[in-house]
Amino acid sequence: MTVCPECRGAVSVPDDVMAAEIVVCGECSSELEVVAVTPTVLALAPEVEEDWGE
Amino acid sequence: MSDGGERAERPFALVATRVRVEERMLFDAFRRRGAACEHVDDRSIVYRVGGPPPPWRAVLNRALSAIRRLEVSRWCAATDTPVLNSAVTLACCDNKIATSLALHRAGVPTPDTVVALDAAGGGRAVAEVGYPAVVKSVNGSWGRALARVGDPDAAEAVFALRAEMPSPVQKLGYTQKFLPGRDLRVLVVGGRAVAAVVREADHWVRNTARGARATAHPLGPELARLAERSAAAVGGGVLGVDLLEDAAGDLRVLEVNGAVEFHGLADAHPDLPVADLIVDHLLDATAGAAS
Repeated sequence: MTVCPECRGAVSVPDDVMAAEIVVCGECSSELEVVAVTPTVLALAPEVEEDWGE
Repeated sequence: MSDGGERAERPFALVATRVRVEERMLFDAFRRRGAACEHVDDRSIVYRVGGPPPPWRAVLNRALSAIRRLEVSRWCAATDTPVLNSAVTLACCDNKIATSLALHRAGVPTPDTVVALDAAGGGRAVAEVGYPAVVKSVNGSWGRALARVGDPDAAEAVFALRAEMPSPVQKLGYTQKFLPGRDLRVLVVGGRAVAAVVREADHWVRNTARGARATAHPLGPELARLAERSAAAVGGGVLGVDLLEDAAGDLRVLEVNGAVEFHGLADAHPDLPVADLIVDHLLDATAGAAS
């Protein structure tokens, strides 16, 4: 379990999580970006920017 | 390539802002081929002009930001590092005006398109294509910033709002005739159309990013040829060609995506190894560059 940086709730993160993946906090629904692994560090995911897309 | 031997020892790079389901699939495909591939977050890249080349054998560029995406491929091009997609392709695909001009030049059918270089001319552009029209952001994606305009009042409102936007790109008026029909996507890899889906939604905007459902669609020769011609027109590579098929079966190309998301297509075609095809294309391009 990792702590949500927004609400301090417990966030379940898969064992094989990779940096730059997005997980969602089950308590506050915040989208969180995995900014580091071993140990897992989460940060609020940035908002979609004007030029993002495919 | 002067340092081909040394470069062959380096890992591949998958440049990505987000590791989404597509990137996971691509990493797995690299792994299946025994090709080392590292994830590189485009936001982390810092390089000196004239300094060492990218430390990768080749690059699969899937940055989410169109601006950073172009810069990644531009850096690769300047250092003879194989990259998909090329800077030429991305510069074309990530600007709807450039895409329309390239498709028209190649004789690819598209909806009637009129461009205004300032929001003040937007109403005139819409009137010229006729109502209903669709006003699109030149750099938009995922179905964002689209407006279907049914009359002059609506056009005036849309462009009055665009005129107030701080981004100069949003002041450009890119307008197309709104046409009913089926929304198709064809994935093109290395010049070959490999699969198609039809995208359906209750809303007139049918992007899977907005919840549209993608189901398998037959890839007939006419559809395949038009998608391949469209891909070639924008510079080639790994591309998602979006088309509209009207009730008579006539096809028009709406846009070509240079950083294509393919999870919907892969789900619709479970027997098609989409990620493997993309990785194989990069490996082939890399082998060609080293020879």
